[in-house]
Amino acid sequence: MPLPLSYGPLLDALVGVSWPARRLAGAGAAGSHPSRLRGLTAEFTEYRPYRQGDDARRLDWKLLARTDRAYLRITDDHAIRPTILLLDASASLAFPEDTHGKWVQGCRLAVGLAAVARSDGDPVGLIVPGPSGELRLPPRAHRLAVAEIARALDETTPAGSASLVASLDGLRRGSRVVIISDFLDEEQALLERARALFVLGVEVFALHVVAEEERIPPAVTRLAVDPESPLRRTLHDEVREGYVTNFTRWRSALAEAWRRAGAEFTEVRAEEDAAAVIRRIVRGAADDGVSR
Amino acid sequence: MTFAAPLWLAGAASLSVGVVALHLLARRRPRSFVYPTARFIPDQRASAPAVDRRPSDLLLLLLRVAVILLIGTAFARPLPSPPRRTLRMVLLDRSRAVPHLMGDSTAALMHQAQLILVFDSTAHEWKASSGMGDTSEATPVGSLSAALLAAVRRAPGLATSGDSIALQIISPFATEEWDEATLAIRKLWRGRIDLILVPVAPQISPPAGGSDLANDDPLGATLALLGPESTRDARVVRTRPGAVDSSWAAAGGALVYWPREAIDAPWHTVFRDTAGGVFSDGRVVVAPFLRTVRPPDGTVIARWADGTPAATERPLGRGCERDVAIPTAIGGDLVLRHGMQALTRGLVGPCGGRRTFAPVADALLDSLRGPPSLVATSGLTPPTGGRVPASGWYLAAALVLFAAEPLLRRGRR
Repeated sequence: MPLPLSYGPLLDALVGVSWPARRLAGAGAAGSHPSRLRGLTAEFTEYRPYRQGDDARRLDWKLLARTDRAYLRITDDHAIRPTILLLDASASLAFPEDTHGKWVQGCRLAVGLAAVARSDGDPVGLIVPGPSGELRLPPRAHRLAVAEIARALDETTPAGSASLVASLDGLRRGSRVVIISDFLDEEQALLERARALFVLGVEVFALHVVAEEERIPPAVTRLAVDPESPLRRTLHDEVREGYVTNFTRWRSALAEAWRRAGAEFTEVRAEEDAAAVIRRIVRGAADDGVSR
Repeated sequence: MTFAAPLWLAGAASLSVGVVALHLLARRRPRSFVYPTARFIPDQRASAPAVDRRPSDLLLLLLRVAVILLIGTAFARPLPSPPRRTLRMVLLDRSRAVPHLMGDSTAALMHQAQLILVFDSTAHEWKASSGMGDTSEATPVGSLSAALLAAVRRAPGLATSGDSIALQIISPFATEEWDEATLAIRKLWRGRIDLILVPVAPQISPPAGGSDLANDDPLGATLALLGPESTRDARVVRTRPGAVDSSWAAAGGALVYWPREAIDAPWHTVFRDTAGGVFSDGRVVVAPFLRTVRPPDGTVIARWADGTPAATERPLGRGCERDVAIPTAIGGDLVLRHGMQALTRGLVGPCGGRRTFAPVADALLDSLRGPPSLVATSGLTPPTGGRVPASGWYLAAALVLFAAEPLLRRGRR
């Protein structure tokens, strides 16, 4: 399954980028992320006196032969971090109407992050809730996983509205979830769910996609129609400043709320270079360091 | 192209301007667009009317204006431009004041004319095939008013044949042909009138008239008061006229059969009442006339107070015979009154009334000529009921565009 050509330059720009985990991984298959567990890997950490019940295979037999003291050889374990990309495909992502810039940026972020995670050896999966059902690709680590995700996104058109909250059920401890949305629906419910996931040990990344036309409304008198509700408001000169104030205030509050919930929140403009955004996201995780 | 009713076109143009203004000034609902963050817009409606410098939908605006202009054009009744030539209309006087021989110059004028109207007391179109006829003492008095009115009414019929009309009147312009309405009617012809004067017909001297009334005849008293001049052109008889009387009348005299008792005349008895009065040519006599009969059919020269004929006249050769059903055998001094004398003078006058063939004053003729310009056919209203095929096409085009307008409007939503 070939990768859609449109993602080629993006993936080329992300070669060599890794996405270290913010938190220690739990039990799982061997991977690149430090695990909360100690194991039998070759990466030596320390010795510990043998206690009854310890696995005799972890005894340092050479040390025992030289010093007649029984010590266990302790090594750091590394585990994978399954990464779930949850992409909002509601009608509000199909904006601007002519370019669908928000949806295109969401897809590029999803494919780019999938590629980065895949390069770290992590299995990547995709969830795209839609009005007619949920597109779900379970986390997989094989080499075609990114191509499958890209292909699935190319065949998806944002429309209607669907619940993101319901799609977050069943995530395993130690996994990583990336929510790519404009967060205009289910704002509080999604936040509560993210907070619960964080408590469970799930790394939560929230990517807020905002279009330029949303930040700076067009200087014309138009009847603004909400694509997911009957709401209609007249946009004209007298209310333009009020809109900018309201929207800016809401975005600030949204970012603050998500960060307090333990999530990595990043506002992404639809017009930004996706590769740069992805580097900023994964670097932010690295800069913050791993909290143990 | 000219327009028969250009006011419709002007009205349509004004309406189009209004439509354009409304298109630009209308308080329109703003165009909608999808905006996911619409909820952050303060809920405050835009109330000021939007004035666009450019039309929001030029095609729709043009279509609406086209519909209005096409309808206006159709109702304005477009006419093809007439050819650039001057048409000639001739009014030929054939009244009793005109000699019956036509001069060469008159014939030449008639040959060049596109429309010839002959007139005496009335006017009608003359065809070459109908000949010129002849005039006699019995020919009616001419009426320039009737002739001018006929010219005004017939002129629009020539509107499509030329761009101007030259009106020529061939007449002696006798005083008796002129009336109070002539100048007023002449103003309806907004152009020059060429007057071609012809000599008046020679006066015909009828044989000497008179009356053979009895000595006790009251009418004799009236005639005696009027003097012998009153009966110079007439012969008044009380009994049924004989062949001698008729031949005398045919020679140009006015034979007046005025029975003493109308009931004695061989006329139909239709009344048995009294009429309050009788009038003739502006003269009125009020008396309890006992009327019993109706005079024979003919030109009415006197009427009872209720409008029924009291005296009639019929041409007879070069003269005429007259029947008067006004009883005079009543008591009192009626026949001696001035009113009765004036009435009697008219009833025993020459055939067709008094002849006044003297031409009208030069000042009146100058007024009749009017301005130097010809009448432009573009200013004439075509005959009512005339079909203008182009109007139908314009209306059809307007209907097609009118039907397309909602389709276009729906397509723009």
